[in-house]
Amino acid sequence: MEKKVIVSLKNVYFNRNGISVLEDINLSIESNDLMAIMGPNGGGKTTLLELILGLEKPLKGEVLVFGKTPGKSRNIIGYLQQNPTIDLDFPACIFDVVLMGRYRKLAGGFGKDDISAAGEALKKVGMFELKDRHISQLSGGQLQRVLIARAIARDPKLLLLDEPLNSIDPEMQEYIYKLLLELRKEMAVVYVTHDIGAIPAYVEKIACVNRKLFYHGPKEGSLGKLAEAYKCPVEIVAHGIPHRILGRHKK
Amino acid sequence: MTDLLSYEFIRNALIAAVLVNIACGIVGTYVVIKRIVFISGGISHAAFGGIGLGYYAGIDPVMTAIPFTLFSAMAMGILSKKAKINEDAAIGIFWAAGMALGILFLNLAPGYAPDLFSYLFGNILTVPVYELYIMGALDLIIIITVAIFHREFSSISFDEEFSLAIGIPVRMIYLVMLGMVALSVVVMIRVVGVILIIALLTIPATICRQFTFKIRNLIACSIATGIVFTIGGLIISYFADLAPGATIILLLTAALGISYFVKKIKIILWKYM
Repeated sequence: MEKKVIVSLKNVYFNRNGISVLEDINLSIESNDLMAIMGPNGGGKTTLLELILGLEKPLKGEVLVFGKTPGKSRNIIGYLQQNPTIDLDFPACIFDVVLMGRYRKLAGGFGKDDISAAGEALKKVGMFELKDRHISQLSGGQLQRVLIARAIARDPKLLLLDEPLNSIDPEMQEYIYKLLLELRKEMAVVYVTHDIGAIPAYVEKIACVNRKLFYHGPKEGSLGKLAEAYKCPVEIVAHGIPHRILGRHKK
Repeated sequence: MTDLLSYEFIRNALIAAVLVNIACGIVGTYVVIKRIVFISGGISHAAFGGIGLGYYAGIDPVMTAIPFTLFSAMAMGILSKKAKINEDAAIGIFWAAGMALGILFLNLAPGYAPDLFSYLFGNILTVPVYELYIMGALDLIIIITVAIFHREFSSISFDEEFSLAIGIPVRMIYLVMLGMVALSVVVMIRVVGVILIIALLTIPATICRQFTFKIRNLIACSIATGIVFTIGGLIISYFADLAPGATIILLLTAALGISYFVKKIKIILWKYM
């Protein structure tokens, strides 16, 4: 498959309330990438996604998304924010929530293709059977899957997931990884995590962000350097639990 | 009962009950699910300034209340989202300032001091015919607005951050929503008065949301509930010689309590039967 650059950040700086959040970031994302953006809390990972979405403007530097300024390509980007501030009392069933992801333009309506796309997205995350349930009748992991379905219902070319594994038990984490692996056949998948344990065997690219971009490139052969020289994934040491990070050996 | 219907003011009151609850059921649903009850309270009280302005200028208070309330709603919506101003404080200030302006305008108004009570607490029995037309027109504007923007309203009520990310002009849609609140407030002033508006706006939707999770059904149920209890309150107030606005609101409050009870019993029956 031919790869092409779909997102590029060149010498990007960002300040929030006068405090430097990101400095001199150079990063590119290619089509069908499966990339993990890691770094400690407060390291600017979420801001990076917000710059790509066009929700924030860089102080300096250039951000190009599908060759255009960010915000122009929202119809082909799927997004799952960190700890979504949703109201579980809200009158909507699961299907209604996923359908919201099909929104394209002001003052329109949802058509047949939107309804079938929402159904497809629910099937992909394995939640189609529960589509008529109210959102308050879901577990945390199920809700997360519904929100991922909402993001992929847009038929995005780029899927941005901010801490998709927060408050999800290990079994469900495995499920979501497999899902991401499946999705990257159709789109570039970029996900943010503060947890080094959340870098599974099949992620091939990582970007390590802590105000600056400390590492950006293929995963294999880089982890030793990461931990020592770039101070970024401190958790590797601090966790004390053996995590599988490199590719699984054949038995 | 048929005797009652022969009075024009009773017939007008019944029409007003229907028109008011169309606005209330639609807008109230969004007020409850978007959790903008407090800002809606602010808008309804600020409307009193518009009423006062009408008396001062010698024109129909409803005609001045429309632009005044819309303006206050926009100002509250814009100021309360500014980072430097606390949202609660901004709403509270407009709430009180609008009322104060209304009182001053009434003080300054030439001639006979108008019946303040009917604007503070409402009187559905005194709605003049031409105001029914105004109410109908405002209802129509509200219905059309919701027909156009219902997807945006749902989306920003459910998840503002995601709405921004998928390209919904969240700020603008929020202001449109507040504009609808302003129009519904004007529709309601005559019937329940500025002080009781917030109850009529929120109680029917709060009762109904226990029984449905489809927004369309929620709106329909809120309108029906509102109409039943407004007319019920009207009948009770007529025979018991009570203030209609307050009677309607207390009846609705009692209905809310009973509905909680019914819901509880339903859950218990469902569990053990």
